[in-house]
Parts: sequence; structure tokens; C-alpha cells
Amino acid sequence: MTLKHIAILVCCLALAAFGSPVFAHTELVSAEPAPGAQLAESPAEIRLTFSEPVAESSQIVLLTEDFQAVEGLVTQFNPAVPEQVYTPVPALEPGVYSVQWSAASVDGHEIKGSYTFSVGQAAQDSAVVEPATNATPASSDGETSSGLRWWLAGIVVVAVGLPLLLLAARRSGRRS
Amino acid sequence: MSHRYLFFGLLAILLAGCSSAAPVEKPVATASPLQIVLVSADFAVGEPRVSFAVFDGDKAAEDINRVVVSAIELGEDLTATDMAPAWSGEATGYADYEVPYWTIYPQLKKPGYWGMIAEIERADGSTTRADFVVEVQPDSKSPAIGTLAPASENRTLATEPDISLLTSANDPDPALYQMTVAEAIATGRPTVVGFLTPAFCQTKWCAPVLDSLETARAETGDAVNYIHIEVYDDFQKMTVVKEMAEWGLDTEPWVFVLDGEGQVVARFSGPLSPAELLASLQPLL
Repeated sequence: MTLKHIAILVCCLALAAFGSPVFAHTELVSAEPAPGAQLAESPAEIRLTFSEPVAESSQIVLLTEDFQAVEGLVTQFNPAVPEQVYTPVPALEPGVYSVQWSAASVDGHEIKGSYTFSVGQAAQDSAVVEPATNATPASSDGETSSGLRWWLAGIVVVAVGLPLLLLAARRSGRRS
Repeated sequence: MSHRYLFFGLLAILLAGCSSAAPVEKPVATASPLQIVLVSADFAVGEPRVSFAVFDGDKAAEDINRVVVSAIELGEDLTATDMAPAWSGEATGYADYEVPYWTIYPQLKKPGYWGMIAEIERADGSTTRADFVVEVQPDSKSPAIGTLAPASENRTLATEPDISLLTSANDPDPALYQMTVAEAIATGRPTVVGFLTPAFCQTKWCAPVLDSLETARAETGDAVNYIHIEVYDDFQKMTVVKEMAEWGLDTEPWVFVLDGEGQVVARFSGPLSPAELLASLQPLL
């Protein structure tokens, strides 16, 4: 083992003991709510645990499906557990939310990630993706009115189109 | 007359059919166990390389057939006012890396936050949506594509014969420490410059990048110059080489591909697979 290897080994041990001084890449180890959690009720908080202590520039943001940031989140740190960040969460409406996290190592090196959980939705086997080209995700009211429009359209077809066609056919028959 | 009735009848049907947009199925989005980890950095206006890994639990999801990403412009509060995608495109997957990852080059015309909607098609036919956010700067901190790379006078075996002081790699390949960037540009051949610290970043996000350089070098031979610039110039004091500042880097790993005139044609932060590196070199060979 060369002097360099010993030096590197010593440095690696120091990094393991005190955290990497320069280019660390922390990882999300656990999360509450967990990725994919389907909660009956709104969670009181989001708590993330990383593989090493994180700096106070780390952040948690919560987004709705249509990229509306949930207000009232304040990322907090627990000096007793420097690997954790958490935020209280206001009462959430039913829906799917994405947790957008950024975690900075003590050296300032940042890594970002995201995951989803849902509130007040029944468990399903797989997600169905909203078409990306759907410019404005309809609210539940919008969906109802859209469906209603098609029912009305169908009624118009039957009530107006069909009698006209029958009348045309009858007159045509009389002529022939 | 009968034709007139027939015409109005058909017209009524057509108008009824056209009176509303095509029906939109209610999107039954649900929470997914998939997680996104953004593995590249330094995004600037234009077509930045955005690379991400998809995890299922604590392991990389390996049953993904296809990922299509749409970019949504967000405000300063990360909120969208218009969900119409400004860009959509299919991600390229690279499985020849320790952690499979995906790369897109979205057209992001404004600085600020951009929401990314990834539609992930899995082998069982299901499709899952995963959202993530990237922050785009007006300009890149490091040499941008189309600009001339710094003609660095980095340390080489000619200036530092002890290779163990040139690299933290356990089993260094002397071929990577033969030229300065300035000398490499002078050859007129394409050059790959990697800012890496193999012993001090041993995570899956950076450690295998040096192997990718070696794999590419075995493929291209002497047609391409390969240079490894170690991030640290002193493994005890842990001081950073001057070239990091010269290239505007505050993270690693970074790999730049230069054409024969020293112009940056590709730049990669984070994981880089041999296939992705070789694909960037292909037009230069």
C-alpha cells in the first residue's frame, strides 16, 4: 500500500466519520408519507431522511397534479437528527401530490428528487396518465360538464337528426 | 326537396357532434411508488441535458420500456398558469451504466422553474406519471456547447511523473494523463475531458464515469484524446485543482467533449454511460 493509498484511506475514514467535505451525493433513505402511499386522510407532515446530514438549504415543496404549489410548507431541521428534514402540511384536498425535495450535503452539493402520494383516493393497481397534451386538466366540475355536453349532443342527434332523416326518407319514398 | 332534408339532417348530426371537444377521459392519477432522482446539474436556457433515474423502492426500476417527458413553464412559486407543454419528447435510456438513467434535451426558452411530467411506460403495459422540477439559469456556469473550452495547462505525467499524485484512481491508466487540454486541442483531434475524483466520490452517480471514459477510449483508440483531470491536487489537504474554477465547475463528475478546434460539442454532468459518450463522439469521427 503506497503512501497515497494510506492517505486516501485515512481521508475516506474521515469522510465516513465526519461527512464528505466536498463532493458528497446524499440519497433519500426513507420518507413519510412513503412513495406511493395512498392515505385516507391528509398527512400532518412530510418527513424525509437522507443518507447523511443535510444543509439548511435543503427544501421540501409539495405540488398538486396540475403543478400548483401547496402553500404553508416550511422546511425545518432537527439538529438532533441532522439527516432529517420535515415540514408541517396543511389539510390537503383529495388528490395526488408530488413531493419535490432538494437535499444539500454539508458541502453545499445538491441533489434533487421527487415522489408521489395520494390523499383520499382508493388504491389502484397502476396510475393512468393524464395526456400531456391536455392543456388544462379539468376539475371534477369540468369533467361533469364535459360529459353532460356529450349526453346533450346525443339527445340532439336523436331528437333532431333522426326525424329529419326519417322525413326525408318518407318523402323520397313517396316520390318514387 | 328530399336532398335538402337529408342535408339538414346530416348537418344537425354533424353540428351536434362538433358542439363539444372530443371527450376527455377522467385522468385517474394515483400515487406511484416510483421515484425520480435528478442526476445532472447546471441547466441553462436552450437545450440542456437533463438526466434522471427512476427508482422503485430503493432499486432502479428496470422494467421501463419508454419515458415521454413534457415541460411545463412554472412561475417563481413553482406554480403553473398554463399546463400546455412547451416541449415534449421521448427520453433516451442508458442501461449501460451502474444505475440505468434517462436523458432528455428539452427546449427550455426561458430561465426559471420548469415542471417535467414524465410518462413512464412499464413492461407490464401500465403507464405511470412522475413529476419533477428543474431550475434553468440564463447562462451556464461551465463552458456551454458551441463555446471554446479553456485551453488548460493541467498537470500531466510530463510535469508530475508520480501518477499517484495525478489521480485518486486505484489502478490509473497512464494514457489519461499524457496531455494538457491545450496540447490536446493542438492535435486537431476530438478530445474528452473528464473532471472526476474516483476515490473521493465512490457513489453510483460518479464512480463509474471514469470506466465510461476507458470503455470509450478502447472503442475509438487514438482518434480521440482522453484526459482525466483529478478534482483534487492534494489528497491530504483536499485542495481543488485550479482547472475546476477555470471551467466554472463546483460539482463533479463533469465530462466535456471538444471537437478538433477545441469547441465544446457535448457536456455531461453526473452519470455518463459509454453509449451516451460514444454517441456524442460519433459525429466527430
